[in-house]
Amino acid sequence: MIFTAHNISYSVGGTSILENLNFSIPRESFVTIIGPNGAGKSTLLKILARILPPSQGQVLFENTVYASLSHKCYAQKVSYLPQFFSPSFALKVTELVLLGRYPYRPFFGLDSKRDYEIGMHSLELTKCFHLANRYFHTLSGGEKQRVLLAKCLTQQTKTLLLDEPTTHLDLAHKIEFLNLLKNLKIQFKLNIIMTTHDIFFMKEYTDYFLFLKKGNIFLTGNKNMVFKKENLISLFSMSQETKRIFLGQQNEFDL
Amino acid sequence: MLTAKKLSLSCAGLLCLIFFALILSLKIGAVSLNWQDVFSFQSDIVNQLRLPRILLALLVGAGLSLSGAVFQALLRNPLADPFVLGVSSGSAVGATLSIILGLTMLQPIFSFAGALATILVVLSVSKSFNQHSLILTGVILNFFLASLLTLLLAIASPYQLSNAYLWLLGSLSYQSLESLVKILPIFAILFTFIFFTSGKLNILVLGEEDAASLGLSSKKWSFIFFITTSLLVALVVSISGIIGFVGLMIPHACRSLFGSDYRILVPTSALMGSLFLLISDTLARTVLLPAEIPVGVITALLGTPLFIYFLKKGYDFHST
Repeated sequence: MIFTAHNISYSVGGTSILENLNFSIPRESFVTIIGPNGAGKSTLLKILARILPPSQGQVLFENTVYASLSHKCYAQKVSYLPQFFSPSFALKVTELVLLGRYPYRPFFGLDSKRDYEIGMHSLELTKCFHLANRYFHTLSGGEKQRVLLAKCLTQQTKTLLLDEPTTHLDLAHKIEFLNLLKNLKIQFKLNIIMTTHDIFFMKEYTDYFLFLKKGNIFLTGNKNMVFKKENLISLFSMSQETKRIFLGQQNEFDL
Repeated sequence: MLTAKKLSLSCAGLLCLIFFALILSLKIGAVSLNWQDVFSFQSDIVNQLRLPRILLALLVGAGLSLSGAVFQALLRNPLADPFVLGVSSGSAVGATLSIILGLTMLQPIFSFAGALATILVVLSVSKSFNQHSLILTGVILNFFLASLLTLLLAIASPYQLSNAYLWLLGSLSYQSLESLVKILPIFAILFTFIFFTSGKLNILVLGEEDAASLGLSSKKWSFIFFITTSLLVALVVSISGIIGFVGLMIPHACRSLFGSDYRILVPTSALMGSLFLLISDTLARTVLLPAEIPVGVITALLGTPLFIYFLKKGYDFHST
């Protein structure tokens, strides 16, 4: 198992965000976390990324309590692509991607030739080698996401956590990004865990779904078992009106 | 990509420029010396007046622009400068207080204490080093301390008032060589520490979450950088008063010349700050002879056109 969560809860200022979650994620799997706004998807991903510590419970990473690993060591195994990323100062794409080498650097390290090659190779893999000398903030939404993915690859982690990476992309870019992820996953035997609202694309790419609702696991399992219209209706607590429209359109999505 | 070659070439270039500026600055002034006097180091003008002043300009310039660069990273804000969190107002209150109490000898200690107290208040009020709450606390404290300063100036005698006014303008003419040699090791330690940890600033600039995902604890390192940099600023203002603009402009000038990577930005900002303040101070004491212009006036008069030039050249501040 890559991740095992034992009774993890998260609350902030007395408000409970996640309550007693238990789940395991097997190796080399593509897991998609879906659920309504405010269900706790991003929080769960941040707990797995060790950005937020769980208020209660334990997360095991490769069967060891992840809090016992050093932060740098963890950053060599797990990378994270945030939902929002806007650097405060103008950064070139190369500079940004090479930040992914930080967990491997000694005390003051400059960029070695190898760091540079890894960074450039990652840009090639995500098809943005031609953007290397551009400033990050001048890129389009799709290019930005591919560059950030290249930064994760430069971090050379087997596990990638992605927080709504496709939300701001257009239809074709969504599919291209997911295809890219799928190919990388196969090529490098990656573990991918992502949250998304683009649920109708995901059946094609994901292995498992984790449905999250009001801080609890609503349903989890193999995509063919759980990705059903009645499950989606109750996951999103659809009203009669919403349900009627949803069912009227669902044929087009080939559920 | 930052290589050792790029880093050392940039620093060596700036060091050469500093060397030439230093030689020139030793030679010119109210009394123009010949080259023999400059290089023999026998003349009192060189040893007692110009050399300490030049050394002070180099230290203060480096300290101000280095801390400006670090504050811009910690607060993730291109408008940040060494004084944004109220350090300058705190030290001004301290210095003025020492003048009013008749303890002029203790002025550097008073202003150092004022600066340090201010930064500690700011850091303890905003617990999580959230940049917005830090800036807001700093701005509010600045108002408070400015009122306190006005109050102190209102009750000061005309003589004390003119003394305080001179300090507030900032000057590089007060320190002796001996006193500078005493504080030099502290500067050296702080500079070296910030230089060797500068790679972490690249990560801190990304914000707490992205720093965590790259394996850096931003709470711990923000705290360390705030403390070391504030010490540096407090030290600088206690020996030179408040010299504006250097700490805001030089880091941006270096960004436009050398890029945003803090591993090169930290050393080049320090060197460029030294160079800039040395030139400014040399101008301040020579252009209107026999009168001397406050160096802060020169830094702003010289800096603003330079800044506009960088903007016109297409430098992108890119604030979000």
